[in-house]
Amino acid sequence: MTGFDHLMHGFQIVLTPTNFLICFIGVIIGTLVGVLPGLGPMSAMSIMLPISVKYGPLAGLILLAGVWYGAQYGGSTTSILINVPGEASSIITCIDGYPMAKKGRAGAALAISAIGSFVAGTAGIIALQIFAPPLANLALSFGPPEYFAIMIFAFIALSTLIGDDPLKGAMMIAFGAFLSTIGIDRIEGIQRFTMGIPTMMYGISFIPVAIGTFGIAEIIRLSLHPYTPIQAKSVRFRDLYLNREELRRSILPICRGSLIGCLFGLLPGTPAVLASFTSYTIEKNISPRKEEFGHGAIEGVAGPESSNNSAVIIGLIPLLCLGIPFAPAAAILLAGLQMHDVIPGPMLFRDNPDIFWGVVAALYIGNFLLLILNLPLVGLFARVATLPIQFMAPIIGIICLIGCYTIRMALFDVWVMVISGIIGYFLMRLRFNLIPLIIGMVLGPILEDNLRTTIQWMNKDIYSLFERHITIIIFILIPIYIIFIKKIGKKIIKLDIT
Amino acid sequence: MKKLYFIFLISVILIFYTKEINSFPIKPIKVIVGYEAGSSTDIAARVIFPILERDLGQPIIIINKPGAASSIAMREVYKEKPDGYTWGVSCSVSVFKLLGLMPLDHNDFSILAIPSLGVAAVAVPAKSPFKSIKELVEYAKENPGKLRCSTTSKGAVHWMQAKNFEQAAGVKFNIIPNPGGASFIATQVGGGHVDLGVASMAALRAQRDAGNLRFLAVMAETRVPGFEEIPTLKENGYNATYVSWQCYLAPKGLPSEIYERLKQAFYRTANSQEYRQWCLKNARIPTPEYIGEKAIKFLDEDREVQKPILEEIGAIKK
Amino acid sequence: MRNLAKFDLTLSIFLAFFAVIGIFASYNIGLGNFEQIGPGLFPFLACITVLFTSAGLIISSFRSLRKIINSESQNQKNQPVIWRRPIIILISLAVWPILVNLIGYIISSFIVCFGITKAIGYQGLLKPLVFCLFISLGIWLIFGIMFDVDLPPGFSF
Repeated sequence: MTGFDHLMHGFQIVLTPTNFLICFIGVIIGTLVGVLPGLGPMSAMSIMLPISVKYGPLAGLILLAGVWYGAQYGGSTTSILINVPGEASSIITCIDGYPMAKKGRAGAALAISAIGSFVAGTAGIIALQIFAPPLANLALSFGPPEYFAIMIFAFIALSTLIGDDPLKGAMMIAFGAFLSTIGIDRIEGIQRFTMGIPTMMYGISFIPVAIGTFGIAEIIRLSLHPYTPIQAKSVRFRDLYLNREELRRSILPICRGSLIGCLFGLLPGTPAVLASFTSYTIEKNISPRKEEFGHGAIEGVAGPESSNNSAVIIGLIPLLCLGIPFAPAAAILLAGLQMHDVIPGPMLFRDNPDIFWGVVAALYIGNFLLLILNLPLVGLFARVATLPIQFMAPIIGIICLIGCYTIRMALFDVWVMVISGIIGYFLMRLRFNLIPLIIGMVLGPILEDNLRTTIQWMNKDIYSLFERHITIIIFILIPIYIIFIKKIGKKIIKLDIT
Repeated sequence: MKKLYFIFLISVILIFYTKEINSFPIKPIKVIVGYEAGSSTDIAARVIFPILERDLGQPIIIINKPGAASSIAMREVYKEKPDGYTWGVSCSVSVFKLLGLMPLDHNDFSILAIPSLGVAAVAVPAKSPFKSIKELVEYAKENPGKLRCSTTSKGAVHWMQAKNFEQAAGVKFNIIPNPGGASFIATQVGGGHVDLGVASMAALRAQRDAGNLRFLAVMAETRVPGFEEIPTLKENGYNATYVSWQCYLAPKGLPSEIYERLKQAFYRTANSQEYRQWCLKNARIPTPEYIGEKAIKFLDEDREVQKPILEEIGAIKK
Repeated sequence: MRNLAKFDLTLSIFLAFFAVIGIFASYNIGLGNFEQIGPGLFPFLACITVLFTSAGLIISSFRSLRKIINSESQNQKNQPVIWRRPIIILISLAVWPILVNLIGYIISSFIVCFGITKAIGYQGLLKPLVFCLFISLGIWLIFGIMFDVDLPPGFSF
């Protein structure tokens, strides 16, 4: 049986009424959950876990996976419309998505987000189908030294994200990494920098900070406009959608985003978040329209939104082929399978090929369903962007509060959000961007865990590090990347002048 | 006449009170699990709860509140009403006080049950030169601190098991802790990044079936059913049998009828065919007899076993 | 020559001081040695990075490698700043975590909604109240019924 036959067989299994309905429900719930800030796919998946167990391992996997990648579709909605990130991977979409909405291009942003997600998702599924076993073995050969090298690379690369000054970016990222250590040490279990306050044990999580600096700060900013009575703006339907130029500009970012997402999907942690940040940085650095970024450049939406989808799809590979969940959401998928005594892993191909190919087929179907669900909704959502602030601000405020609380059921997170909002507003006035700080809070834990593991692993013998070829390769790539980016930057400036 | 009314009133109240106890449970039960959704404790809870639900006749709702080895979650359970409708699940409740995480330990809760014990295995990568556990220990004795051993965070179960093995065999490994859990240990051993790893057999099974790692020994009193070909550490002369456990508990002060009802429900569940099957497949030993008093005794013993190991790494807070 | 805003310079100086404090605090927690890494190592390294980068920014600004520009944009300064409104918004937002365990998430959300609506400048009393009532109903439907999330019910449920 060739791969194609396997796939056809997979489609046969999935296109039963029950499985199809479950796929549909999964992606809808995923989109809804993604739209709501704070409430992430993790909570929805854990709620769905008992339900998914009832219908068998394949159906359960389809349902939970649908929620996971569906959330990546929906997360961009609130980012674009109200500057509140619906999902951790959509934080970066706020930077260019919301300015687009303010310029009246909300529909275009939402549409390109959906299209990019679909293309990247499909690319990811194809990669999964063809390359799953070798990619899984590649993932297995990466150990802590390699992950540490990659994170250092990411640290240096992401320092240029905001663009004005790499030193400033690096400073904020490092500060963010420091903030991420506040709370309880994950390895030793002791408290760090909690200053004797018990609630500080929760630690400062990056999602409340993101919701605060984007959403709450925006409400405060909106409130300072003098009150204007409600004006109904009539918007032409045609204006709501993409125009040709925006589509043309987005093609390459979507392709690059898909590729970046595929690479990051194999890393442990939260692949979608890092993928979206990296995609934005790369788009900004190689774009001839650098100044537009931050004010509504469509590349800044197309790239990241594509990368987060392909990252999630590829994130399924370590789970299905190695039986190892790299992302916390994947752990729930694993739980769902284990409760049916299906052990994902290298034997899944051999013992349960139906499940593997069924999942692949369901991914294609779900991805397509999401596209045809989201595109018509674009028009509806874009009209929401035209609603006057009197209605939007209170709704945004409550959604931020409740959403933030549902992350960990911790009031501490809500306070972090409010305080971040205050600080974020003042920084907004000074045109200071807190994104590098948030990146630092995301990178910090991954960097730390891998650093400590690597140092312990070295066993006082630093030469053992040089035996790891992949690590050496990555460390050599770093200066190459820096030179490459500088050269591209100079070339683009030359092009603009001539 | 007034006295009569008074007696009537008291009896009516008493009747309603006993009715509530007798018909326990009348509404859904909330369980706070101190670990993330999808973690091994969470999965174990999700397997046992459907069986319990059928026994008790009410749905059981899981809420995950991870953090600080479940001490944050147990702090919350401690503050809840002891009416039997809120439970907690923890794997470290016996040592909270010792570790200084909380000024409470298992004596401050109503301990319901410990339905099963998880067995760990010592695994090596497939291309490791060690063919038996004795070879590994001999090499480790001659080269202290050289062999790399992957485990979880300090104080967590697999770390305890690795330390237990070290002490029982009289060797010293280069222990590499990582908060990634048992799946991370599986990647490290399967990928050949370390020399050995100690984790639950269920987590390592996929990699073993793929041929990426080998089980050298199990940490149990007797050979594990379903995996009889793997020797125990004990029969090789190393008395390391530390097992992993999940404790189901409730706030202190449960009315005795409700306490009894819950204990019996757990007994029947842990004894059920369904649960025993699951344990067999996942290298766990069902222990339906560990309810109430016996469970408390187990936790007391567990604390005594953990104490010297924790003292050695300076984790004990005086 | 790169641009450095005045605020960025102030921030760099502030963070440099913070980093020094952080270095000492991390050292106290324990750096450990090659055999046993202490939990203070990573915060220590992070603070050192902050110190070096902020020092780099400060020194280069003194050496006029970076031009200091004023960062507040013009039209923001010209707008009248009504401080009363943000303060009401912040008080409304703070009310939620304080009261939510006592009176439940629906009533707390109602109070927050009302506070923000009035702070935005919505005139009158009846219309905002009705609006907030609808919003609270929606919140209950979405979070309580549809998603069934475990939010504090207070005494309302």
